[in-house]
Amino acid sequence: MKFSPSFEEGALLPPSFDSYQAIKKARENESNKVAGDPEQLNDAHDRWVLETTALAVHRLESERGQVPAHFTFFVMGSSGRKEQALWSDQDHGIIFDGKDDFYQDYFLSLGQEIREGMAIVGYPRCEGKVMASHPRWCHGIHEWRQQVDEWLEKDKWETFRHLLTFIDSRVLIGEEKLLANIKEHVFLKVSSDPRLLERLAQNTSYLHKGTNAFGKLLPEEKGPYTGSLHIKDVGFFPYVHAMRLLAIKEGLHDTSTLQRMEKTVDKYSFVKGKIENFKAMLDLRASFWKYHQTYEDVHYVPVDRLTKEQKKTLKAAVKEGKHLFQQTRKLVESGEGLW
Amino acid sequence: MDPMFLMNNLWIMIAFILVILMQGGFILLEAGSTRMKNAGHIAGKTIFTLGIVSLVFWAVGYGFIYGESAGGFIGLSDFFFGDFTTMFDGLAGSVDFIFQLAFAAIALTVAFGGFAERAKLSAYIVFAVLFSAFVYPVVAHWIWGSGWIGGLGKQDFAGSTVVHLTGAMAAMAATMLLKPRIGKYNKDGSPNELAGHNQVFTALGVLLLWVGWFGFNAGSTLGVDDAFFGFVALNTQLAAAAGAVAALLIAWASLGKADVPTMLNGALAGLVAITASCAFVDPWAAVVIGIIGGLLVYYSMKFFEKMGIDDPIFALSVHGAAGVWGTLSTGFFATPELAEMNGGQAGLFYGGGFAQLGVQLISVVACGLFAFIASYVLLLITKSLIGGLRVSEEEEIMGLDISEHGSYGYPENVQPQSNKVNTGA
Repeated sequence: MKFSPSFEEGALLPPSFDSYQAIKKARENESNKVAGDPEQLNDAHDRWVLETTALAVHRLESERGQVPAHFTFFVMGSSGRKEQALWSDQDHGIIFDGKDDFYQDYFLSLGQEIREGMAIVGYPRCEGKVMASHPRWCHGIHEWRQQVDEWLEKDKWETFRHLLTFIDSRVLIGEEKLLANIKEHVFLKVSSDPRLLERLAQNTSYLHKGTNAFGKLLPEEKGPYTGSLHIKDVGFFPYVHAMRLLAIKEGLHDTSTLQRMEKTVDKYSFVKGKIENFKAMLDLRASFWKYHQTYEDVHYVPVDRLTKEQKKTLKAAVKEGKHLFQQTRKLVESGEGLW
Repeated sequence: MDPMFLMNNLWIMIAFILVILMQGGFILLEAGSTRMKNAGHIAGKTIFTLGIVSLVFWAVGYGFIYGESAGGFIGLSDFFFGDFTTMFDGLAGSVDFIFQLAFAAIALTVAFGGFAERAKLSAYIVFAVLFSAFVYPVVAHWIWGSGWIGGLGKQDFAGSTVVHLTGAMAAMAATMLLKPRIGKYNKDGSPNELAGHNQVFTALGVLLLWVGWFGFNAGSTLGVDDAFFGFVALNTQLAAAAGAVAALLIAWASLGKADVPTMLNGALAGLVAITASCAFVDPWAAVVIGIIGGLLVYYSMKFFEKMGIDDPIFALSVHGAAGVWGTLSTGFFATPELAEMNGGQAGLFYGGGFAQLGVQLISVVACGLFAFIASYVLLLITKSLIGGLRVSEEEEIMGLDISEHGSYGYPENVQPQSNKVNTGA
């Protein structure tokens, strides 16, 4: 598969493919080679989405004329954190350099084109509509700042959830500074109001139980995934939620959970040792890629197919994840080192 | 009139009313534990099968149980009961009759737990007649009539075996013949959750059953002498309480979730288990019996599901497994004083050795086997009479409310499933 190399630098170049189907085919050809390696797989996802976006821009320009302003196309969720499995849904947004009144209509059309293109390439539409085709996720820089302020002022579960989703955003195309600017705005707001970080922690405080009182893993009891553990909810999320909170507290622009851990481990002793656990879970999930046929499949690992050693590792990772989140929450609630 | 005679008869009439009200508990329990599209059917069938069992019990059931025994196997007199001058167990015959009738009705309702959500209405009707005539009365005669097991000194005060195990064995035969509901199991054999539509109904059903159980157990004293019914009621309450707590804790510890249906089944398992032993054991033993019943029901539910046996109302676990345990429990916990007072011998933990336990075991095996085999055969006969026990796939999908009765229990909330499927037909 040939990719436009300059996309990696954020520049907007002509696409290498003339149809989304062709990108899908290229993805299918390549995915088997990279699926077992989480890092390679996420690099490949970036390339596939880049190509899809480039083609979407090309198609929209041929219909509606040139892109009217500088913009940043960013990804969020597991894509933003570079923690995608073989299959992943869409989570993305756009920031443009200009006012909504003038340009939002154009960029929403671009968001729609990207959404449809990605769906063809094999990325299901986000059920929660976290996509650049939705007005919430497609704004000019000024309106983005306004929206962040509104999210914080409204102080609702939904608006805080939007903000937490946004914090995992990572630029794929365009200028980094547009996104960095909004994030800095968030960090400033949170650091100036001690209550906000605590409210954000409450938003994700529900932890799914991974082990029972006897220390046994808790796989699904019913349904098509009987015997499999929901590794996303049980394994990854406590780490993701904890490190996102620390990233906000520390004003980190890094989005990957591993990077966030590396950047904070020296300051927070409870982060120590957690990097290996998280890596182990990423590798464990990747090792089952052959069983992953759909987006839903990637969230599960079959417990009965795990070796004794893998079970031990997973149990330890689940336990440590819970500890990490609890310690982080405790820190946030105590307000220590914040103000 | 002797005031004690009057008091005894009044007490048993009250107990009868409580036991009949347990049918209301079953309606709520069953309807709440199943899907909305079958709710009206479940409520309705409970009432009309109560009608069937009443008529059959009057015609032949009572006579098969309490009539003159033919070799300890079945009674053969007192059919079409109606003599207001008769006396039985120190009660007016009619009072005793109607109290016994309520027990037969409970056994039948337990059996129908195995039919839920897929059996034809005609299967309910035919089997209600056959079970009420040829299954329940036989077991009841063996233990409570002048039957061979009663002669061995079997302890089953209110019917852990007679009512609950018998009903559960019929439910097992039915659920095995009917096969699992559509969608219960995947191709690889893994089960799906076909969640009941209303946990509040289920909880209210359990509460109503719990209250009714005081008529069931305490009423089985058949009198008010020495107010012994209070002791029986105390044991009943303790076992139910212990069953609920134990089931909740084991589900919470094992699943990581305090599963409500499991907890509710734990309360029922405690009640079923103490039914045999409520007049034979000390209160501390009632707590132990309830705890074991609550734990047992959790593992039993998992076991049957793993075995591919779809038991929508958990009749096999609540009434079967707990019924067996309850029957055996007197073999361990029966005290010498209470055994002397109510029949049989002391249990293993009170120096009675294995004698009583052996009797209890024999009765469980014999009655369980008989109830299962007889029900299985009668269901096969039913099947041949009505051309199959189960409704068609389309009827099952649209729900038994509309397919068997022509109207929904929740008309505003249920859309006919078949209308959603474009078959091209």
